[in-house]
Amino acid sequence: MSLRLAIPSEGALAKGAERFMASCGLKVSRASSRRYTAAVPAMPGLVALYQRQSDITSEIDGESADVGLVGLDRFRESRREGGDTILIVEDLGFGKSSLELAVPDAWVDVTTVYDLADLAMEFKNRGRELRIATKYPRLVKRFLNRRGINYFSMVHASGGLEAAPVMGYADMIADITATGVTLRENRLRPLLDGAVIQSQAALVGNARLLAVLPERLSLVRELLERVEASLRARRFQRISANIPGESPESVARMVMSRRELAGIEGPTVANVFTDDGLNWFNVQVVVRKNDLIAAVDHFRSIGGSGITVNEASYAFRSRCESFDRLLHSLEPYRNGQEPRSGPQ
Amino acid sequence: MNSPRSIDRLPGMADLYSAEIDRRDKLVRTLQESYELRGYQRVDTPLLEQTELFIRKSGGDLSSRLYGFKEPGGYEVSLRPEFTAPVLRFASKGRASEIPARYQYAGPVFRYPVTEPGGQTERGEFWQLGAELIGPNAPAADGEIIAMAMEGLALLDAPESVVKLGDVGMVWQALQPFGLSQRAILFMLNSIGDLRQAETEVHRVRKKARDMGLTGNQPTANGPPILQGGSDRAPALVESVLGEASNANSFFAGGSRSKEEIAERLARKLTRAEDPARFDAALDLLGKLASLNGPPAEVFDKAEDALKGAGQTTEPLENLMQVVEAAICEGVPREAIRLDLGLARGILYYTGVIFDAISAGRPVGGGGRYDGLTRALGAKQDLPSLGFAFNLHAISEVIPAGEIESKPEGSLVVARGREAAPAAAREAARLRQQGSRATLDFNARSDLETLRPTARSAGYASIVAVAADGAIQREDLL
Repeated sequence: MSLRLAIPSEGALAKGAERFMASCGLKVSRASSRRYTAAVPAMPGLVALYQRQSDITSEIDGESADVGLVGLDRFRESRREGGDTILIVEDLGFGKSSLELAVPDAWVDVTTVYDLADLAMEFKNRGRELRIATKYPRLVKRFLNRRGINYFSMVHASGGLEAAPVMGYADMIADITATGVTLRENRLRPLLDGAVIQSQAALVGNARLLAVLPERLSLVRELLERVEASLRARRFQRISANIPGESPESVARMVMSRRELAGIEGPTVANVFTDDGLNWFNVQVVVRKNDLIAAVDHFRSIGGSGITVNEASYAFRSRCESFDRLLHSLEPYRNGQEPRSGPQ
Repeated sequence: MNSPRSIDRLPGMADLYSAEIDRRDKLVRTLQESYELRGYQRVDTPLLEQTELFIRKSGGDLSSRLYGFKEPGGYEVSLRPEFTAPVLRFASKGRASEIPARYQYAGPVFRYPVTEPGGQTERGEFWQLGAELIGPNAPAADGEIIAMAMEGLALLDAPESVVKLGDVGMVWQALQPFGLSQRAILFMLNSIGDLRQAETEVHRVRKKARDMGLTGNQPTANGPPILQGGSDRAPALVESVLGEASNANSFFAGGSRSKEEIAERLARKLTRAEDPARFDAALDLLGKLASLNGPPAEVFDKAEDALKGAGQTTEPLENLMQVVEAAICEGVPREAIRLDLGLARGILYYTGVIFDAISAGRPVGGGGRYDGLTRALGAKQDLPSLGFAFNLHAISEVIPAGEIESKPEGSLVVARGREAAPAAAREAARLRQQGSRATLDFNARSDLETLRPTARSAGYASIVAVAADGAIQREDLL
């Protein structure tokens, strides 16, 4: 039995998802862009299903896929509350964007959501209704309601939202933006406090299916092992340097004088066999990428040379933490007892 | 695909079993009979109303929890989340009278449940029972409503009943001398919830007011630079910025709003910024008042100090003092009354005393005065009105469950063989005519031995076996 992974076929997330899979060592091998299923050679049990991003959550809810890559905003917009689809990993590190309330640039009197509340009342008193065009009516409505704004209507629209105010079918919009460039080019301006949700790509899955189908769950574990270790590896680099010294212990002491640059557990020290009979040792540490130059400087200051740096493909810990969390979330779904509130 | 999966109840909904229905009915009857003695007439309103009715009343939090949809005729409708707005709508249609109108109601209400992360889903449907008193202005009317809530809890044997009183009108009055705009006062009242948390919240609220442009300085991060100007320069600045905005392109990019409309609102916004010193002084007083709670005598003392400290009279406290006395006259024990001047629930439409009824440390109901609500709902004038409601689900969780009666009762009527069925049906009908419970067993049985334990556990007192010739054998199960 294979694990069905839904992947966005179009839109902002599609490219990112493809790159993300490849970076986890799970390159998807799609025969042509018209084929809607594809294999992942590195994981024979995995089948990729290309779906529209807006459909992925309901496909998983409806059990036609087991897990999926989807934007957090899309997931929160379309999930059924208390339904079977749950978040498995909520920060995959790509597809970052923000759902923003934006008004025409010329509305110089409107800079905050508080202004919007005031304006909505003013519209209402004049017998008009503030119309907001968005693809995310559920998230936007909740955001505004919670801030005491009740008089507005939603214009459901797909594509080309930015033109809505100029074309006249809405007064303002709420749309996804990564950089704000499209908004600016269409002479729209985000409100200072109008970020409805900060989003990035997430891995979601059908908890009820995974709780009762052990073969698929074990494939999810394999997927999570790779994803988690690959995400973690991106934060670290392996540094190797040759350092002269009396003994392995004395070299280790010098390296560890800056504990934060001496690796998580500590340095590995090995003998280097040289022609000239001097005592050289090879030191290896894994450090955060932020600390790279500081670590190189530190090695130089204790006589180091021949410093090389390698990327790690994966960084595994003793356990796969995201899988442990998933198992915990699945607990209520076992024994046929279905929870009405999924862990969020 | 295999067999279709079962369809579950929605989150927050419940199926009730006969014993639970009995229990709820008993609560409702007990309270209704008691409130009828005070002259409260029963009313019922539709389960489905136009969404706007509820939005006008509650706004904010509750409106994000409405079960709303568009009905087939095109109206935006919602299941009712509470009764006050519908009952007041109903009442404001009635003839004005010198004698106050008194109504009570009971029925299910619907609020989309909030699920805490990893927590339990609360109830999305529960019963409310409450009363509305329409017409009187006097503190004695507040006393009556508070007493009814406490009487109700006493009748139901609710443990450790306490009422917590606050007074929105008092706070409103105390803020008047600072000469702030209505908008600024509304903002402060809406911040009470934050202010009562901790002293340090005052700074956060002050910053929020500044960010919103209530006290002068506008945010400048990426807002239009014009907003840094003083109010007297507004009209000229508006013209220059809007002129720029419209010249930069061939058309004016204001969408649905005209240049004049925008300029007008910007000018208004710039000229109504509050004096920061007065705003801060008002906020300090509010912070002090909002943190006061405890026994009435003690809280009144401290509140008087706070008001005097701000150079004011203690007049704003008088109404609440009178209401406390009125409630005591109505029979509420003095020691069951607590004051909590930071009580902030539903601040949007409450205008006077508000209260929470608490049993065993949990809120089980609440109410207050909302003199402005009838007008918000579209009546020609404000109609003094006040009321309260119990959450019957919350109450049933704090009162003792009581004995659930499960005495064996009635007979299971069994046909001995298929041809005895008509005779069995006749016998069952005869028993029912005599007023006793009789249930037909549709399986023709020759052997009663195996039936006995099943019938006993199903709660029957006897088995009546009927033969084809009409012969009856009655067997007691007790």
